[in-house]
Amino acid sequence: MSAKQAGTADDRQQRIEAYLSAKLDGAQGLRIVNIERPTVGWSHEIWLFDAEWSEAGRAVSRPFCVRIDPGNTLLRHMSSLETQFRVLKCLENTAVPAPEAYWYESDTDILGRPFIVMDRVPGACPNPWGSDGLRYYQEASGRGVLPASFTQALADLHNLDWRAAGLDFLGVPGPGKDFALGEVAKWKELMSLAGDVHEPILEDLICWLEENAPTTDRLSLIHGAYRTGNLLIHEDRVSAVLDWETQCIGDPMYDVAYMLSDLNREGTDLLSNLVPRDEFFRQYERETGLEIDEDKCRYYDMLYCMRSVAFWVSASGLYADGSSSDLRLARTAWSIPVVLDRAARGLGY
Amino acid sequence: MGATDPDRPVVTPAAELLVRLSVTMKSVIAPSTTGTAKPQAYMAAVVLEKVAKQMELAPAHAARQAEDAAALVRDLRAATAASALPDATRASLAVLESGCNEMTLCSLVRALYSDRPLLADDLFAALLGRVRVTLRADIDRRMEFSA
Repeated sequence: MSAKQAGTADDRQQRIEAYLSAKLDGAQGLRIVNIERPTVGWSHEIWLFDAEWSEAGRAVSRPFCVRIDPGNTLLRHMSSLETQFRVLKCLENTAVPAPEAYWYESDTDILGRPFIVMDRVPGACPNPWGSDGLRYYQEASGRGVLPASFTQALADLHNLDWRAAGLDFLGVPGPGKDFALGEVAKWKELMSLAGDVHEPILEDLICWLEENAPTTDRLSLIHGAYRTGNLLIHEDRVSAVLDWETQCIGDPMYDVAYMLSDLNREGTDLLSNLVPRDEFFRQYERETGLEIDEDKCRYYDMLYCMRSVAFWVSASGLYADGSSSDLRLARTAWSIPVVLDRAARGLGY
Repeated sequence: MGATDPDRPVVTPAAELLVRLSVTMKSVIAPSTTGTAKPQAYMAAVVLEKVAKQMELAPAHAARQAEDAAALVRDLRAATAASALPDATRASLAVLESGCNEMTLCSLVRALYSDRPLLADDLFAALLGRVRVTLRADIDRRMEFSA
């Protein structure tokens, strides 16, 4: 079956109901209700709903989330749904707040594309770039509970015994500069998949990154995009870390740099629009036993410039080659110079 | 029949048309759409505005870019006249002289870094620094329609 054949919402709904009925032993008359189809995010088609059924004469209701790979995702070459599913399974029963993943299906006969079914964790994800979201995080910052929870979740992530959790399948960098150079190579590859990119500032940046790669002393599970907007919040606390698409085993300063980066805040000194810098430093260092290395963070901030260019090149390429008609992707062509300007300033010009 | 204004335009210039389409999209079409079409309509307005600005600035930018490229080639030639250059840098400079564009600039930047162990520190800094002046001017121009 093609993606097109499984494409209508009604058809998808029926197929999800049939799939869950088959997966849930003893479920009778299963139907899905309270369906939400959030349009946020760039990568996956998301279905949030409650499944209701009867089981041994008893009414049952359970919340679910289904993420469907649309086949043209931004990071499609770097992170499959199967990898995300495996990561979520590894994170079960750890301190890292993440949704419980139930099933991964690669069979495209079911919904037309691979998908995962997971728990629908209670919580909301205010958009940190909208005025409502900014106000939400500003107020939450004043209360102090969410910033501490946000920092704690990052510390839990970095303290995780990733080998014991089985996450070494993600690939373990060698000693020295292997992690940083590996990241540079990874994002170069993503750009090359998008097409030929001839940007002299980008070339300068990549050469500089290769020449100045730092060594990594301690390896942690890295989320790769840890910020507000990529996690769920419930009762003023982080209920789940989402968007497991850029995770890797690497230098914890890579995530810390993302926290510190002005890429992730708007009109405020609060890190990720939420956390006072001093409080973040104090709590993170206390909880992880790590000293934040600001020089390394500056290096990784430059790496994020490269990553952003790769991201926007990939995004605008999806529109340019006709893979997507989403005008948000067309718009990203003008984001490339903005990031290059930032990179040039970071390199001193 | 009254006299007509001989300067009255009968066809809207392309860049101006795009600006006006953008305004219509933002103020008339987008507010009247619903669902997923609404953010797409607003985004269409943004894209039209960007394209219009880029088109409007294109002739002036092209002229300044040509001047900058000529000045870069001239300055690099002067800066390297008395130096024996490593192969990659020498070859990249020769290609740049035959046509200064994004591709040949990328090639030169790459060559400078790869030849760095063979170049004197001050020469490396001078050559890359001069290239960066041109890159700064170029990105400033692009920011005029991108930011």
